[in-house]
Amino acid sequence: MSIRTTLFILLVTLGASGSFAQDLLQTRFSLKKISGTRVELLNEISKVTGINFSYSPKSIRAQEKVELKESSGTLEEFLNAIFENQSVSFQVRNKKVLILGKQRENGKATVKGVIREASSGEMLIGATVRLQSLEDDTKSFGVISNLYGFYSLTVPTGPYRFIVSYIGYYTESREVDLEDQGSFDFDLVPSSTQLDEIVVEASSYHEEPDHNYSSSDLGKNTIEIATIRKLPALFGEVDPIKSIQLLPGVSVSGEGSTNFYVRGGNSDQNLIQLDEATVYNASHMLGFFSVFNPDALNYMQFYRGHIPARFGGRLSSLLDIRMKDGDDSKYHLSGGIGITSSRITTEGPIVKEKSSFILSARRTYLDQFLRFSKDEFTRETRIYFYDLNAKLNYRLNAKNRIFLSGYFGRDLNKILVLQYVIDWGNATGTLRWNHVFNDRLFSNTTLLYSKYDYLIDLSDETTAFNWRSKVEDVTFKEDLDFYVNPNHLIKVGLQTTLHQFVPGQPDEDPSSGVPNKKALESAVYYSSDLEISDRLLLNSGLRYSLYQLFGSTTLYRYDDSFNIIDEVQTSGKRIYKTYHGFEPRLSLRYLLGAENSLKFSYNRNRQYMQLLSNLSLGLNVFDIWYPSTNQIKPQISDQVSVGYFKNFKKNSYEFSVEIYYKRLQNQVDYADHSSLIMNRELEASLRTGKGHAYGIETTLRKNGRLNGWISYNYSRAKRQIEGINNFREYPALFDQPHTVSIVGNYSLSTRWEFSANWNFASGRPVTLPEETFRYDGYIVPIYGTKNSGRLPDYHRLDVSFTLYPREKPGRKNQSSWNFSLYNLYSRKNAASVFVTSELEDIDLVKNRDRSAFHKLSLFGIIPSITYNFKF
Amino acid sequence: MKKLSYLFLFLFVSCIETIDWPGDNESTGRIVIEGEITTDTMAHTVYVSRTQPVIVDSPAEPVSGAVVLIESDSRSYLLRETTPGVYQTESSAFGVVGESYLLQVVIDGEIYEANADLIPLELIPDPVEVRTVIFKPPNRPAIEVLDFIYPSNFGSEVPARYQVSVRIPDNADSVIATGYEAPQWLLSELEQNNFIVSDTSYYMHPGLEPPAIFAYGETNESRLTFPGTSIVEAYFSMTPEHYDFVRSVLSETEWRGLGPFGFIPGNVVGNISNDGLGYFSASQVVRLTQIPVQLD
Repeated sequence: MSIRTTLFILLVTLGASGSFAQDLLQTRFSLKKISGTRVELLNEISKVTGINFSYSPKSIRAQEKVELKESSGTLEEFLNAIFENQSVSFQVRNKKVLILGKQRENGKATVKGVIREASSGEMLIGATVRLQSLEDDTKSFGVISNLYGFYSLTVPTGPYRFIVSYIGYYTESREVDLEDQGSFDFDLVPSSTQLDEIVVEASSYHEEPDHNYSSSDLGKNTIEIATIRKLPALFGEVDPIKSIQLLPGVSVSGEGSTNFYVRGGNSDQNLIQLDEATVYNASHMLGFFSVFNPDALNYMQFYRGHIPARFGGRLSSLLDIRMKDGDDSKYHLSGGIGITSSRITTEGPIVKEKSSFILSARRTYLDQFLRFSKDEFTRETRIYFYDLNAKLNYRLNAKNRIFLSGYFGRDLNKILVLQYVIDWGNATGTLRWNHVFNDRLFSNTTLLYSKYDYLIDLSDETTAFNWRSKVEDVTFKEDLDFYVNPNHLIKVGLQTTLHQFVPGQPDEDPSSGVPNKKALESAVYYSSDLEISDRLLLNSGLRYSLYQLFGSTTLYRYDDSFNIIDEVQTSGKRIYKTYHGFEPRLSLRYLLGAENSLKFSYNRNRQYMQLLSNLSLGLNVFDIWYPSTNQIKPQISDQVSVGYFKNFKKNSYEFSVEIYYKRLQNQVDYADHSSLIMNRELEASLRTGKGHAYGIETTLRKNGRLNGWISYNYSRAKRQIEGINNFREYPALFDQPHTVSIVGNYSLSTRWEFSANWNFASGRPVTLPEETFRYDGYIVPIYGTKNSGRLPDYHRLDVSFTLYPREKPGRKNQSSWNFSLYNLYSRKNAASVFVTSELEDIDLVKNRDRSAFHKLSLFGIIPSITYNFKF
Repeated sequence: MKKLSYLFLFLFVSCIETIDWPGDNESTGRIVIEGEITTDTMAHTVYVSRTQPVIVDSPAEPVSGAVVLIESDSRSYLLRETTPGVYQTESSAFGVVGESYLLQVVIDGEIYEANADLIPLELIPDPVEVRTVIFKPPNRPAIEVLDFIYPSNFGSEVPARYQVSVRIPDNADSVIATGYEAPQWLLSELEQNNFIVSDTSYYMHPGLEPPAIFAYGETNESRLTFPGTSIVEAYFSMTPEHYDFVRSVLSETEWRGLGPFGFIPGNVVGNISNDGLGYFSASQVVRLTQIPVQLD
């Protein structure tokens, strides 16, 4: 093509576009309504002509009343009449008319608002809000919506395009003229609701396409509940905790357990919060299921590297789980029927678009099958769990919102014939007030309640025996987010928690139990997210925590052999022991170039309580939450991590490699054969020392129709505790050098989805006997070095298929069938290996005089079917 | 008593199987000593053997030719080897409350020693309560018989070893309640002149032991009996160190069986010197005998 022809085509095109703009303004029409506010008249014009307008309400004085003289004319004539006494200009862009008010030179405009899901009104946390200048393409400002969907951004005045995006949702775009402050809320439409084509759905285990390398986050994952639902699940029970166990840096205590260990830290070093309230025991049925009903949840954020300064109290990780708010415009009923349990959820508006509720319930019914047993004890056994999630929220006005949420769940194991009862459960409550002081200052005030307790009751007609244990918290928190400018966000806050520990006592004589403890744990923090330059992003923070034991209790002092040498009774409200310290938190990201970055973080964390458990498999029914005391110092960790992050092919692939080293102080272990239950002097059984952990985590993630990730980790975790293993270093119980996770999801068609995951982990350390001796007819094992052996390696493949109904016009209900196979090739993974007299079966000794190694496996292949529905 | 743990596990299609393990047929042959002295006047026994590999199906190798001595400030007993590895005092030997006893075993010039204090039983419980209960044999009228319940193995005031022996009278035929049809096993025992119908021994623990609860639960069986039956209970005192040893042994044996509720493994620490294994204990024995003679 010749240059002359090219220029001709260019001129014609430009002329055509200019001509189109001119034509639009010359559109002729008639209006029935010719008086009203400016915005009413513009809406009327839109109705009649189909032309849309974009403007800043303040800059055009939208509420000013106008009376038109003519009822027909061109668009330009109408606009000139509406804005007769105001200086505005009109620009046609993308078939819209942009109305620009008078600009202030060198002024600043602050915009704020809330990002929500369009259909339900649920807050969207971590949505990206960008303002792209329409006058200068190189100028762009961005911010992320906070934990409550709120954002604020201060930019120079002028025309901008809002671009609001969030994974799994269509991007919203809106053009505005920013003259002064303004409030702009956005309702995003989920892309998965548009099923007229195969959905290209990005993986939801991160926040934004470039988040992998652009954020300063190290060791952080945001997990959408929708993604968890697709993963194969044990007995078909979708389990948020089990999804965490697929992430790099996370290892598991054993088959089917909800316990998890992060970067060499014990399971009690993970802070699990539901709507900010602590969940002390996230397990149902000895750990096979978690307490979290996915139908009630909105999303989860998991921190295993850098934990922001606003969070504290645990060394290794934070799992921050948020409940849904409930659809504020329509009522829904949803649920699922599975082979082990069923669940139901109802949600809807209390006052439309102002207030909503959600209520979720779940119960298992496995025990109903026991009624058919021929065995009397089995027949008279009741084993089940139930839980309930509830939430209300009320938007008082644009600046104030109140939330009230709670969880209650219980496990019950009862043998009626013997009057044996073992039950345990959690309860949480959250009362929260979000307040917007002004365009830049956002406040969150929270009152929290949390309780975990269990009861062992083996009373019968001759022996009354029971044992009750509890931990209970009441917390007040105040958090402030201050958006200084687009490059700088400051967070400050404080919190104080009253802890009440009842480590264990019998109902008949509470004074004979382990002495109760009370403590006040307080903290203040400051953190700053600062974009120092285009390449360097710094998140720095400092937390100061104070821990004070007070109240009436009995204190023991021990000699070097852990015999009691002194006993002191404290009384009243006197503080008898204080611990405190600073916890610096630092994280930075340096952009190396296009789509890759280096990140570094350092964290110090303090933890003022521990979970005491010396059972070999960690089925945590009888574990005891015990505070730091005059004898047991707080746990402290220092962690350093460095990572390289890169995206490929326009964020279709994400790669990361992280190296970490963690040093741990005051780690707790137990003297051999410690008795923790009913032991008033249980501190004498505790031994403390140090530990360290290190590792490398590599992950390759793919987004798109086929999405998922492959991760390989090498990690070690060691302990060195006085009085154990002759003070020699030994591998921690969760030291698993090699772990591999392969997770994949694929949309086969509009109706079928396929998901699979394969996990591999080195066998856990185990202490096995090297020889035996006879005593009193028993064959007694003699062990070598602690944890010197290893269980066989663990690996398992799970698959699931989800079937959706055919699309029908006007169909309002949604449903799906999920078919899953847990442990597809039925590998008998070892839950434990032990030596005892040769067993024929679980409760049948074959030969008392012959010992043997035994392997206990919990699961073979387990199929399940679940029907999910939503109206 | 039913084991509780299997009720959880069976729901989840679990299984236990025996497996091979490297090094399961090796042993260092360390010395193992098991012995006790009590306040009973009788021949007291010390067993001397060696360690075995993990997988065994034969008794431990006895150690013969050892020189075994038990002595205190006031007495000294030289034990005689009666069968290989089994050493006994004279039948008039007994221990005295308040004394400390030294066990010395010399094997090929190597000396193994242990000390044990013979402490009194701090609290002597009441004899078991024998009650009159109604017993309804199948297809026969109800009758009154005597009954007692074994003391619980958990929650005792002090740790102790407990033995109970139930001996029905020689003239059991005449005292068996009219209308009671004796079970076949009892009739068989009587035909062989075996009148001891129950001889049970177990340990009484001050605390609750979850692994034990889930292994075999709490002992609270009842035992039917008849007028004239002698119920002999024996309590053996235990020092705290002796109890810790026994508890460790149980943790590693009886309570280990079902894995999920077992303690984290740990070595059993005895009181035998020179890297020896096992335990030498000293106990006061208190016997309570009652012979219920009539129904209430």
